[in-house]
Amino acid sequence: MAFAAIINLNHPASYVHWGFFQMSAANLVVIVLMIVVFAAAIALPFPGSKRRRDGS
Amino acid sequence: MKRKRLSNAELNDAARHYDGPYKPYDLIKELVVAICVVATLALLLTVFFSSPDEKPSTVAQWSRDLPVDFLNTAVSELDGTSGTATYGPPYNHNGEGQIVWFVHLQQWLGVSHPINTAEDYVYAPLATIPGDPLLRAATAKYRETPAKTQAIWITAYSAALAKATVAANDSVLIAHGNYGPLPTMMNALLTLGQSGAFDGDLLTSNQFYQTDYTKSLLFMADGGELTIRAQQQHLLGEQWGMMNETGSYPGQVWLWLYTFWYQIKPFSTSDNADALVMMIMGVLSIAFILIPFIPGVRDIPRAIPIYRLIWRDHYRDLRAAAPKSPAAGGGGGGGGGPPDPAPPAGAAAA
Amino acid sequence: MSTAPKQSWTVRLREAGVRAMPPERLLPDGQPTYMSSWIYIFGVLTIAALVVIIGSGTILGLKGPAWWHYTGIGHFFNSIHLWSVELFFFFMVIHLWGKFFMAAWRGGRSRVWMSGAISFLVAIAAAFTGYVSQQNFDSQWIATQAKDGLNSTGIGAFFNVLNFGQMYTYHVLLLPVVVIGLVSAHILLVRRHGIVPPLPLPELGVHAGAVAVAAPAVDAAEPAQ
Repeated sequence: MAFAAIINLNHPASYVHWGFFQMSAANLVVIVLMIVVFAAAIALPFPGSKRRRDGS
Repeated sequence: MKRKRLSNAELNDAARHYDGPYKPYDLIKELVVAICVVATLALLLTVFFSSPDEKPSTVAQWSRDLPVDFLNTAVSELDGTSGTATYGPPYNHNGEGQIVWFVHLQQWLGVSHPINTAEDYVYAPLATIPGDPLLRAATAKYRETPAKTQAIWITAYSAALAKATVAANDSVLIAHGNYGPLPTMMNALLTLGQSGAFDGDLLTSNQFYQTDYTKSLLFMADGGELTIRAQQQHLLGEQWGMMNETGSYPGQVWLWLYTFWYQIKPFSTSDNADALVMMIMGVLSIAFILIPFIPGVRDIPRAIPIYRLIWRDHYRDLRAAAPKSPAAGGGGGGGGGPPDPAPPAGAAAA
Repeated sequence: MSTAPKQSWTVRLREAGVRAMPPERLLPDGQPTYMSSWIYIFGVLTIAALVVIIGSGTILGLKGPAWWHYTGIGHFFNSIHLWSVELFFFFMVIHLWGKFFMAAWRGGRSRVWMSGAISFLVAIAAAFTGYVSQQNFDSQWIATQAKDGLNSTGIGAFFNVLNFGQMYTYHVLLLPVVVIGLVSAHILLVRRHGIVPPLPLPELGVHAGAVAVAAPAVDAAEPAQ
């Protein structure tokens, strides 16, 4: 039984260059995602907070 | 009125106990939900992207794809100039190894996996070829010849290899010259490689069952086969390769700081780069573990007040409940009381 | 209560354990009201990823290291294993960032931070032994490169990354045991010391030892029993 991937990543990666710094697109996506998720985790309201405020 | 900045000791005292309110929370349900969420995420990523699996290189493949490179490597193993031959510990005593100042850890830990490159990569494999008296004679003649003459043959043969051509059957053609028995030996080695028998020899020369690929991998790493494939995949050291994966897959992003040092001087041009980088990362790792005790670093959370966002609900509640006078106001943490993060079952506080 | 003599080691160990970690502390059904941020879920997400890693790794181990190269289902579980590792580090680092900016080592919790930091470093080593156990080109390259770094410190003398058998054993047994041990210690320390309270706000006039002002009462100021 074959499980073929929907998106085939088995081809040479594209790279981002900036001076001596270079990173694969995939790694860059991972890092950007981490920063976005971290920011969202801190910024997004947590359920229950409004209830507390209204109850005060 | 400017508030006195709390010292670390005061911060620690304030954080030891919490007497404030609790809310119900189901930890086990949280864990089960988290496992379901993560399993689903992993499943989705698998279904969408699968995982890479580039087939490994073999000596057979190397000797067929890059026969001249194979022969160059075999010659360097024979005359003791290859990377492995000159490596030093843990493979042999032919090199100093890397040093940092007076620290020679590589040397001090000794030769634990001895490799004699001429013996292991040339003489022993050739000896496995049955029924070839010409080859046996050639090998014996080479071994008996003084080193000076061997060096003349090696130099001439290497120069010839630089101008060699590859025939349709993957054999290597060189101009006539004074190479002694080298062409006989090397061509036999090339045939052995291309047949696939060399792979087996390197693995099972000492015993039938084997899981140790040291000899095979060091031999291939001395040549260009692995390096060429690695360069195509952006896995070389100077390509920040440590972080990368084959294909377009995400790699080991957490190694960013480790690979960073190899990109800049003096590490990028130093013979002792590995030892230096390991030392730096060792120190930084220990510092990372000991952050709570490092002044300055442990104060960064107060200097960059992301905590105000994280605990904004709590601070809002405190402000709402606090009396007008700031002197009697509340703040973070609590005071007094037993260090009980979960109020005792059935017991009202105080 | 107990019929054993007072100097019974069993009784002393049991009572010390229960004193340090009564059941309500080990598995509380409430948490402080200041835990009101999504940043707090990343610890449990990291644990969840570790569970998926171990589960998928166990299946890979059941069939042996060559299986995933020649069957679709094997490759499927290898993919789950790889992606759960990526998720594990993803969530762990966000958890780390959150805990750093909360200065979560305060109030006697330095061992919580240290056990977490060491877990991170050991997890990197565990992942590394996995990468060199893949038995494909990637493992060939990583092993032949990494050997230089490890040899330069002398570690290569007894930790041979080119030795598949040794690396595989480290990966499926030795290092997972250490990771699980460290993570367990980390979690038990968190349960022991509680989740770190918020940093005091300078403008609210806090000084050490201030009594917490009770926040406006919620439905359950006391956790349900």
